[in-house]
Amino acid sequence: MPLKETQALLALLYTDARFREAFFRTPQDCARQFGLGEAEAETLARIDPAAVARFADCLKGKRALDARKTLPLTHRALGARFDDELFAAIAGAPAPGRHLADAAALARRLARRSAEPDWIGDLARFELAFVAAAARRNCVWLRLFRYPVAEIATGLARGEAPGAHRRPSVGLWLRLFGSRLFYARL
Amino acid sequence: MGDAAAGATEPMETTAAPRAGLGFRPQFCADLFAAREAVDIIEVIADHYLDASREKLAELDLLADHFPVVPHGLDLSLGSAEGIDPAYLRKMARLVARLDPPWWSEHLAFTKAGGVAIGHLAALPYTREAAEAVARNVETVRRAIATPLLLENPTAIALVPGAEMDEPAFLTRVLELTGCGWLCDVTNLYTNAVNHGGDLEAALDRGALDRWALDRWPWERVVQFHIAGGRRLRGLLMDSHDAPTPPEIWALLETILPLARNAQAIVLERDENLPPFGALLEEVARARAIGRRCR
Repeated sequence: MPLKETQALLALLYTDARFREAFFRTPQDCARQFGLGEAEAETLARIDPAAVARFADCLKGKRALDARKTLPLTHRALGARFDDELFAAIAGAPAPGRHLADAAALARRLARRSAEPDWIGDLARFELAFVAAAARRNCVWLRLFRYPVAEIATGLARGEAPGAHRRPSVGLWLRLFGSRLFYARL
Repeated sequence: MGDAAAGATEPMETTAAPRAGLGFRPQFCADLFAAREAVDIIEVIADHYLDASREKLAELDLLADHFPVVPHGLDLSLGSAEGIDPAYLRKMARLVARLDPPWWSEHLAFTKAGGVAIGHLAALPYTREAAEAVARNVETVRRAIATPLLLENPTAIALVPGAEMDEPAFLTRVLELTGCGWLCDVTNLYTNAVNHGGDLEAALDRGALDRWALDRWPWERVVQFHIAGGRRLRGLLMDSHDAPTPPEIWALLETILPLARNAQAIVLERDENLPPFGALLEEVARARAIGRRCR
């Protein structure tokens, strides 16, 4: 079996639910689209759908675990809803750098829609800014929030259940030449 | 691509008992330094330090000042037919040079293909073509990193159809082609045997391992062991590294160790659901005791 084409197909099969559904409906057609010949398509069509589903579930679980670690306070605030929101935000195969990409997709989703609590989108963007800034050697970022998000984050970290009122706030993230990350509330 | 390649790990019988240690997690950093006599070796996840801040690298340097530190990679994708990412390899080479370890390790798996980052270790098809792809990639790696590379056997949840050999034959073939040492993950070995109905569990159930099954693995190439606990999920064993090492893994380690005459280290992996540090140290001590008894 040509390995390159087989691996490209497998990577999509493991990570993309829509492709998985299409593959198990017509496995040989899908395999041919990846440049696999008749015999090779027939061989690959024998892959165990239950095993593929289990592996795909593992990968989803791992993405959720990583996203919870990337945005711990957002996870704490959303509780059991975190995974549902994440999976709604990250449909499809992961891109390189998925830890940050998945967290960013969730933050965008939460900021866009009117999720409860109302400040959750701000909180996700706030947490994400620290992680994204830490991944760069240089950054100067100003972020505007609708809520006093730094206070909300502090409250959550202490185990409190913050009920914040709307009050705009600004955060500054600064990092130069890989130095220690500087953050300030403005 | 022969055994004589630079960085190849030639079997070299040793009489010293294997060192016992654990995978580093920042959560127990202070405890680790407080109990440093109880830990002979530390393994770090290389990927956590490839794009690290100065503070994170300072943490690594501090570790390396007090322990032998071996880096363990997750995402080099040594089994990718499309080759390996040169940028990732450069970062790995920098890290290995910084630590100057006795060896470093990666998985016998692929994690990237066709522009998709799978995000976990996917099993290779057990074919000659896949073994040769790994050998080509290892050759590329050796041009950048001369330090001996160990290859770890991963778990395989989804087996790829079209196999030309089984897992022990595939592993043996790859180690022969590359000259690499084996990082034998005992838990993964057991997990695959259980999930795919192999011989190991049946043999353990009978109270003694079947010689035939044991003879098919290249024990003489083992340089390092991994041990860990996992859990069952819908009837399937998962190497989730979130539980204490279970009795069946200790039993398997004890059976294998006398055969692995070149083994130099046993490393406990624990990622989630971390217990008090003392519980991890007890597992490390047990691994050390088994290592001494079996050498």
